[in-house]
Amino acid sequence: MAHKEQQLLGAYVMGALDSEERIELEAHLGTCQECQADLVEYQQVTDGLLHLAIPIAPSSGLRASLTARLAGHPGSLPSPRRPGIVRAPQVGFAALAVALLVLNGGLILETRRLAERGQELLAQQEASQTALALASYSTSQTAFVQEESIWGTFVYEGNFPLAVFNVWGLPTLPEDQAYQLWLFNPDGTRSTGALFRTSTSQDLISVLIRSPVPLGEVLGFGVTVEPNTGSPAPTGPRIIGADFDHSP
Amino acid sequence: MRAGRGINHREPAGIILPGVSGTSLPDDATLMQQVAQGDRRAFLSLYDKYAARVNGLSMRMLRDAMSAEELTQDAFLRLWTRAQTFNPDRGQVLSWLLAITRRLALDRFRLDSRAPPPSESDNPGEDMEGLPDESSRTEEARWRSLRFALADLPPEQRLPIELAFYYGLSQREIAEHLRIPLGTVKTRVRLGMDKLRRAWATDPIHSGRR
Repeated sequence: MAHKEQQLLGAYVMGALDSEERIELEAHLGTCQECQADLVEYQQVTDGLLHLAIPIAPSSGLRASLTARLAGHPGSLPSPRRPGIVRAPQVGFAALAVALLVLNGGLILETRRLAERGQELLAQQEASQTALALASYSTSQTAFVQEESIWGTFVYEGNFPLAVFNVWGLPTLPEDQAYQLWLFNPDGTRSTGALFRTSTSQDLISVLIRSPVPLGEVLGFGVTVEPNTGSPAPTGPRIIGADFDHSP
Repeated sequence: MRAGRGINHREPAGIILPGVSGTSLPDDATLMQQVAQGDRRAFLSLYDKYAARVNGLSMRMLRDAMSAEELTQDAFLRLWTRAQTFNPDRGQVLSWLLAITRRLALDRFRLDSRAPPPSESDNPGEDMEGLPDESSRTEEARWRSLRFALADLPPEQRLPIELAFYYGLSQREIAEHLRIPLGTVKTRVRLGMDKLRRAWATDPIHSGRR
């Protein structure tokens, strides 16, 4: 081998180098075409190592379980919609100035709308990641709920104070209202798990639920319609909810 | 509380039904595009095609059937949520999915403070019937050649490679685990990986593609 760095490539592709060696090698790779070519071959070896395990069919229940869990994951997000190109009309200066003012106003509104949408997507992503983390625990539980055209799942693990509520078909509320999710405490009180709104562009919404105590101590949950700033206790009608079954 | 709606299990997209002609199986890249659009049938087609491969790798790494199925589930959930990031120019769906599975398994080892890995190598020469026949010209026959090459390595070279690749140990950690000098581990990894690389590069099918 021509370079001492080449001797590190096998360990590098497996991620087995210490950080100092890795940094040194990566700096060398940036300038050495011979090592870059060797690296490709080592990467093909590690790609091959992934394929060596003997196939083992999982149990039939896994397919059904996975299908049910898909319901809690919205899937890949579509590409963000790009604002269209707006052409300035061939009019006089005053009219153009007015048009620009209107355009600026429109852009500000569009920017605000996109920022709000970004916040929604971030919240959705946070909920999805939490759901994914919860799904990795064999002791996680899912409560299925349905009320007429509204249905959903409440995914939780008894030892954690975080859960995810996935719900379909909640009607879009007026600006001054929001949905409030209440957790039922053993002493009969209610705690707020989340305050959220739905958007006309979404049939499914995933909501991250924060509980003051581990979910194993919570008896159930309910969703009501409240003012958009939230209420200290439920005041509106219960839209959907469930009692938890904590038996193993 | 009422039970949730039943999920309709439909036939995966593109399955060729007995006696029905003209139904073709979409390729994986097409299925991934459909999954990225939220197509569950396409997702289940990929699941039916690759679940055993993913579960096999999960079992190989975690060595526990229940944990392996959890990992398999996580990997396919990741496929569902990340399908849009798949780039067919950079490799096959199965390789992408297996790489995800490996990363998730290594994450688990780290989160669980890493379960003690074995101090003896598996015998990769055992149980070859699950792999394509060596004489077959399919692309997957290459994996069989590599498996034989791995089986041919001296155990003292094979073990550190398995500890690094399937358990995510660094060379330093391998030296500590096996209680041998770090320099010895480096030499064995280098010699073993070099033999695998040469075996791969001289594979007739692989060479024909270069």
